[in-house]
Amino acid sequence: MEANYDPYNAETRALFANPAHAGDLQAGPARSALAEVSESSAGAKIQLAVGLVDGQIQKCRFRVLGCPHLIAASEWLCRTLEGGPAADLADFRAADCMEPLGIPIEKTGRILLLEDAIRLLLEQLDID
Amino acid sequence: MNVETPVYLDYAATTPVEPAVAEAMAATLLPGGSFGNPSSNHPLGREALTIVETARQQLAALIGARPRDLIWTSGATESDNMAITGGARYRQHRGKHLITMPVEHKAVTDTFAALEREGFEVTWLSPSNDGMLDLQQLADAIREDTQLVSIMFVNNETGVIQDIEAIGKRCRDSDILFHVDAAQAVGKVPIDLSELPVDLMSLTAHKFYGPKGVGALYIADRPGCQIEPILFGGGHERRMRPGTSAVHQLRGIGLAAEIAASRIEEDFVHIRSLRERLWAGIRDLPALSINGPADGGFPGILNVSAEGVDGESLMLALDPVCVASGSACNAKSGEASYVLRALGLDDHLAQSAIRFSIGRHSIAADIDIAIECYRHAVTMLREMAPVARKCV
Repeated sequence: MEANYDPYNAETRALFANPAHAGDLQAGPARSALAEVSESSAGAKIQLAVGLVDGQIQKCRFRVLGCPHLIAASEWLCRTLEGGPAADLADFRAADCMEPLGIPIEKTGRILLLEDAIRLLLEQLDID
Repeated sequence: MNVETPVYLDYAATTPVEPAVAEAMAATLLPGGSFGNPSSNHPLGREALTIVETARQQLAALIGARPRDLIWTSGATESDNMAITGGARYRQHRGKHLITMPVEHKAVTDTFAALEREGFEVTWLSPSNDGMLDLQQLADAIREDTQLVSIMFVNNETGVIQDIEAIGKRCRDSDILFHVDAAQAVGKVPIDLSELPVDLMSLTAHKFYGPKGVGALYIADRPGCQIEPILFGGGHERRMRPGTSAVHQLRGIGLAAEIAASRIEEDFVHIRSLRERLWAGIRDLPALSINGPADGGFPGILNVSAEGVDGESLMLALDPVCVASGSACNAKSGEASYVLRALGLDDHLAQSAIRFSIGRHSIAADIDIAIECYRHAVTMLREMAPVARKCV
């Protein structure tokens, strides 16, 4: 048996290589919000934006300055949320993407930035 | 872009073994080869001893030393430990003050840190922004009780070449042991220890196309230049480094040294032209900066920071171009390079640094692929980065 020392699993590599949701919301959704959060120590920074139509997340976009796991997790989050009900925002937990993306435990703090960003979005959209 | 074959530009981390070296080593290991114990007084033992001593001559010729002044070790880390710890302890009855720089390799800085815990006092000299040691700063730091100074020849992250001759002269003037970690220099830049005022010098074979796991410590034959052994167990290597000599490894380092000596200038010119090609291919990208000397340093290393880019993501986006983020030794920690931080870079810029290191087997096509990959990766990551705006 051969050990695998690749720090990135196939899912993370695929999402990193194809971050289709990276960018900004274009004009369209009547209701939108944009949150920006950053991690002071390592300097990771996220902008997360959602556009809602009839209570559904029509568009979800991100911008990231950070490691491959954070980029992959942001892309994963956007793919997961887009098309679903806005109420799903409140259900997201960083742990949801840690296992499928093989994110090491020491990066938990960085991935929690996504929870912080969603919390800000919920406040802006006035969703409980 | 789609590149599947790895492009190796990490020669400062390690180099491939020259095929002729590998073949010679294998022949030494196998039945029918010179696999004897060099300490054995029989034909195979004497044959092995001949290999060991021939290698010593080959390596000595590369660096202008006398063969008897070389001690075999497992590599530069062990040599650094032996030289610094052994030198400091040998002279501790005279004084316990030592001098080095925070941009040295961990094999040096961690050894000094261990000596601090033993009660030695260490002065850490900060480099100037270009990585060079200010000789006046060194002169000011030297005290009556200073016993050892350790400064590296070529910095492994930035390629900065220190003025070893001037530093050595200053140390000789004050009868201070001068140790040089030359892991990145030997076989790559001309070194003549018959002229240089160096007392102790560490080197390793795998940086100059020899095998991993073997190196040497040079100890100058001059009064007062001695070290205490830190390993015990036999009379090998002038009682400095006990243990059965690894004959196949020594065959490797000797032959690698001989090959390096025969082509050191050719390699230097080749590497310099490829570095110029690499920098010319990326320098017009916005907000790029070279860490270390723009020219005048060792041309095999080009360390570049890109504002607004995460180093770990840049490394993955460059895949399969093999480069280093910081140095190989701290690449997995995710922390910004302590060497670049010591040069005054902030965390963001240090963290974005990529070290390209070019070697004998690099070709123009490798450089062109690296240029294309780097340009694409930096552009892609910057396009993905947050932009300044007012949140709604």
